[in-house]
Amino acid sequence: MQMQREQGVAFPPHLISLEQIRELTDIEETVDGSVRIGALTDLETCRTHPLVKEGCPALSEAIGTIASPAVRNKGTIGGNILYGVGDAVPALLAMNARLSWFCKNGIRSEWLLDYMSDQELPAEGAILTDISIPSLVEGHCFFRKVGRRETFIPSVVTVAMYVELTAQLSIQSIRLVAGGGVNTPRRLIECEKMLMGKQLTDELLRVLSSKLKEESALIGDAFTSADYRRTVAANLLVSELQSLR
Amino acid sequence: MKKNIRPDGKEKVTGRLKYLTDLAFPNMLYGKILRSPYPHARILSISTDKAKQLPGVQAVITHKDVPGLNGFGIVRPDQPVLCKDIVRYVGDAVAAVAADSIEIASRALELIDVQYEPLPVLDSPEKALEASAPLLHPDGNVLHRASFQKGDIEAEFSKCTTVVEETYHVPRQLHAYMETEGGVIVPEKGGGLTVYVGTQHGFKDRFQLSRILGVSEADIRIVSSPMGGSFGGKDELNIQPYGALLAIATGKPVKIHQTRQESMRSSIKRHPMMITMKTGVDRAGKLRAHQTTIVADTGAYATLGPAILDFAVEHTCGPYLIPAVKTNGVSIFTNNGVSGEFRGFGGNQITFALEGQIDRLAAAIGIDGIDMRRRNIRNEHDLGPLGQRIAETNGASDVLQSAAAVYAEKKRLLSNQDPWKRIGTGMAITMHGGGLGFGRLDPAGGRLSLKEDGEIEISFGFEEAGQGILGVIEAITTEQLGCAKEDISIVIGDTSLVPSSGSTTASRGTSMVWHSLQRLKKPFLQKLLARAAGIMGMKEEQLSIGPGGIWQNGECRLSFRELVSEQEPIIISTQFDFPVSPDPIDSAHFLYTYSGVVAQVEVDLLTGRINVGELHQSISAGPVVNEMGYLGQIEGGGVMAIGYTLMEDVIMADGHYVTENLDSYLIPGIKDVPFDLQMKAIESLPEEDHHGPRGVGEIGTVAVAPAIANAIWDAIGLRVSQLPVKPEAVLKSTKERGVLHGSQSSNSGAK
Amino acid sequence: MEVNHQTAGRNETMSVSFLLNGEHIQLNVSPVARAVDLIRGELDQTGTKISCGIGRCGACSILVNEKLMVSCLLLAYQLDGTSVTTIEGLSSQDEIHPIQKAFLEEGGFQCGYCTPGMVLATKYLLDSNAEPDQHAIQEALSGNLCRCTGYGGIIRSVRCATSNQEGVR
Repeated sequence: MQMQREQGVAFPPHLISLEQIRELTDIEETVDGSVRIGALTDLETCRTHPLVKEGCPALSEAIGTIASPAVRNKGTIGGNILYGVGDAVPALLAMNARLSWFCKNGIRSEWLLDYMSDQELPAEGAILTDISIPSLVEGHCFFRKVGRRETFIPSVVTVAMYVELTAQLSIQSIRLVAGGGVNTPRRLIECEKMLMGKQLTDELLRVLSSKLKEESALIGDAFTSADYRRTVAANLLVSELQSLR
Repeated sequence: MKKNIRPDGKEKVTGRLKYLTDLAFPNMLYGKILRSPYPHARILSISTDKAKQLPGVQAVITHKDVPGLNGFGIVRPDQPVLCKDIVRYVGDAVAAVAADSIEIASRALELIDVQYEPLPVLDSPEKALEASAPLLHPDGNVLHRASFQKGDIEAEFSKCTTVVEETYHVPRQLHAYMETEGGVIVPEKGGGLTVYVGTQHGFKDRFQLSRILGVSEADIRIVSSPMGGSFGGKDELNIQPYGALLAIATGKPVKIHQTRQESMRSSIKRHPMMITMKTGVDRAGKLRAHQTTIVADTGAYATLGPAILDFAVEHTCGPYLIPAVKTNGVSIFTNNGVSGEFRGFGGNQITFALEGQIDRLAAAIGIDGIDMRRRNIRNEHDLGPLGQRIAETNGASDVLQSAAAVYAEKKRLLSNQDPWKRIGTGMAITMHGGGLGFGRLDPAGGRLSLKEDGEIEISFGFEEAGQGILGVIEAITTEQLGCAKEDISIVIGDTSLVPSSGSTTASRGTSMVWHSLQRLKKPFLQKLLARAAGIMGMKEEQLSIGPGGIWQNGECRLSFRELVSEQEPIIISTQFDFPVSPDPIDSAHFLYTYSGVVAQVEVDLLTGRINVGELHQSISAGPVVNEMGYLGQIEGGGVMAIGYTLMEDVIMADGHYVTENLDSYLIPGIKDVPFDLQMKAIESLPEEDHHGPRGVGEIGTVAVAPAIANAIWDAIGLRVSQLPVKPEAVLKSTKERGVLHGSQSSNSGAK
Repeated sequence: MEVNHQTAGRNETMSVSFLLNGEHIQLNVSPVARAVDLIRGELDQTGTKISCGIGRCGACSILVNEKLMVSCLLLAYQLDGTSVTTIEGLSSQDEIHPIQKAFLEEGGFQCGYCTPGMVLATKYLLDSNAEPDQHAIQEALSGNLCRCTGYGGIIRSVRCATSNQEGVR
């Protein structure tokens, strides 16, 4: 909001502070083994919390690429999600996170995937209360952000992946995500479908590379072209899969 | 004289130092400047009525309120203080407001109604040179032409066995000083004005302001230090005229501190240039012919544009001996902001192109770049690049030799484990002139006095922008006089207290301080010793100056305080000009510094991103005055140049800034630079040299870009001709030439 | 494109109280006033600098409850009930903090404008990590831009501060 103010957009007429509600800043393991993060947990607490660091290292890594330590000390995980193009989102999508909302008529819960598809609140005035990440002990998680500088930089490309391989190296389960810059991070469902049950052959990866570029449909801006973003997204995901062989 | 702590250090690390933008005065108002929303437009009308009626607004000014000359500019005053009929860039000022608060001043700007008629936008030099282009200034759209020619270029090209031609593009760089422009302008009770605003040349500001305000220079006092960085960017006037006009209009102190966005919009930038070079070598690898055209985008107004083009032309053949040279440069007015002075002063642009040529030629004839340079490098007694005699040193070959050794070592130690990375090593060298050059007024001076409290006061008209001039003054003064740093006090950056020393620019500060002390010390010490001898009843020869006062037989016998006499104050002043070549060649330099840069990069084949892992600079600039200051200048300059090479570009579209703040205009952060920057100072000078230490404010920025470009070529075979190097171009090139594919199959990144 | 740091036409204020460098502060602020303006303006602690205004340079860094934050992105009311340390709080008139001493002796500054933020970011690092390695130093200072030093002097200062702190312990 301060960013917009420097650009000349006036503040909204009223601000309501939720900062004193303690339940919104917890991180805990629930009975089913998933990790529940309060939406107002600051990013740095999230990043360094043992449950996140050990249970979802890719999320910890993703959060570590957001802004700077000082900004992460104040910015919240919920804020990053509601921002729409936050760099925590790809990792959370790859981990198949769920969101809980406080609405007029009670708590509502939905997949982050569903929320990100239209970014509409489940009900008017709904407040995001927490994020749940299912237990991910089986598979391999990956996140990578590319910006125009090494760090302290908005993303140009973000990719994330969750993959489970069989002993024979065929794909048992996979979630692929690409985003970056103004591009809302999204799952690459067609590519995922194509990979299911397949072995990671050179041929498959070659086909995947061009399919990733197509399906990610990333758009460019004054600094980096669409083609560059799509190529980088494909390169990063394919090289990661390649490294798993 | 080694690891000296800077005199301004303690106040800086504790946050107690008051920068001029930190100042506050009783009854102080806040100023804001209304700038044009159009890159090029005619002003049809300006109405300030509504703004004036807003409670809390104390003054609204327009062109009608400029009593003197409505223009400024160091070379020629072609930039209106407040535009009357035409605006030529989006930073052009149309009105200004003083109000009780920043918020009210901002609101008042919104209430000023200016009607414009947009005019065609000349957003490139090419457009500005079209026959149908509107004229931005009465004399047309060419600000300046500069050329140099020697030898028979065609004849020499015909002797060449290999000729390389390339066009290089270099970007518009932002100074990005951390403290944006600002300060407070205070009307004094007894009349007159004190201007507390950072600048690199207080006396020049005083002159320009007196012309604008229509008051005598004596009525203006400029306090210009300290500054939170400048790098050339605060040499030209910025907010001073508006603050001064508003202070006069209201009779109250007026503070203006530009936001980063306001700064981005109004400040000068480094000249973008398009440089085409055609260079040939003969069978022996000797450069024979070098033909260059330079097209500089100077933006809407002149400021120092002409001098910068002259400098680029002078440095076109760098430290190389080439029998035939033909250079034509032109600086073109456009509606793209204003280009002006920036650390390196045209040298960075031209050196990137020149060193690119040398590397291309070396590769074309199958020798390595160091060998190529050895075959063509200037020697101690060779004339300067414009055929002028210069202060003779072995700097060029010294830095080449040093860089060659470093290069070999870096190559040897190279290791790479990551299959998706390629590592490359590159080098480049340069020579860079200090001072303003022949035919330019370049006066310097200083003053030594024994104050009533016994302190030895040394004063200069220089400004401290962070470069460490205070440390330099302290080190040179104590060394030359033999006293301790506790014995002296330094006064700079206040036109009411200091002698004129010329501009704090062009790497001239260190030289000028040293030269001043050479002139001041003898008469000053003589007076001190004579007085001491009188008091002590001894002969002068028995006494010497030491820490604390007058020494005899290894003991301090008399303090400086005891030498003070109200009747006969001891004050010694000097005035002289920066040393120039004895040969009257316009703008030619006399004192040069040299650098040899070795860079090592890591190219990410998946993303095209380049990381500079190592940067080593060998510098030849005479003796080191203050080790920490010297190192800081070279390291800081090097990193600024890494930014120039890899990420910095003030992007403009149709005359509007696309990059408006530090979120989109990127300067290097700590992770973008080598963790261990390296530097070697080559201090030796010929015995007969009597010019002492040279300034190193610029040399660290000059040859970094070509060294990195050379390293990129070494890593992946891409020839860079455009800065900043875009990962996109890298990725495209690796794809086209199968570098990535090769890596996938061989799975080995080491070269 | 002009900056509007307060929504015009609103005069409401709210009371905040907090500790500033150990001293109790209580005053009324506009609910949309920035923390940096309060600190630099009304409280006249100008060691906290302002440069980009959008949290992209670190010049306005302060410690809030010992955590590093950028005061240009904080609203003044958010300081309520906290303990704030600015650069002025690190040293007394006679004695400077070991980190400041390290910056002084190792040339961790030139123009000095980023220095307060750098010193506080270093303090925040060393408070939780007594022996930071290269990665930790880079990470801790990644939100603080310096245009003068090229970070070389700053890195040497942090390393020196690490050993200074050891001396203190």
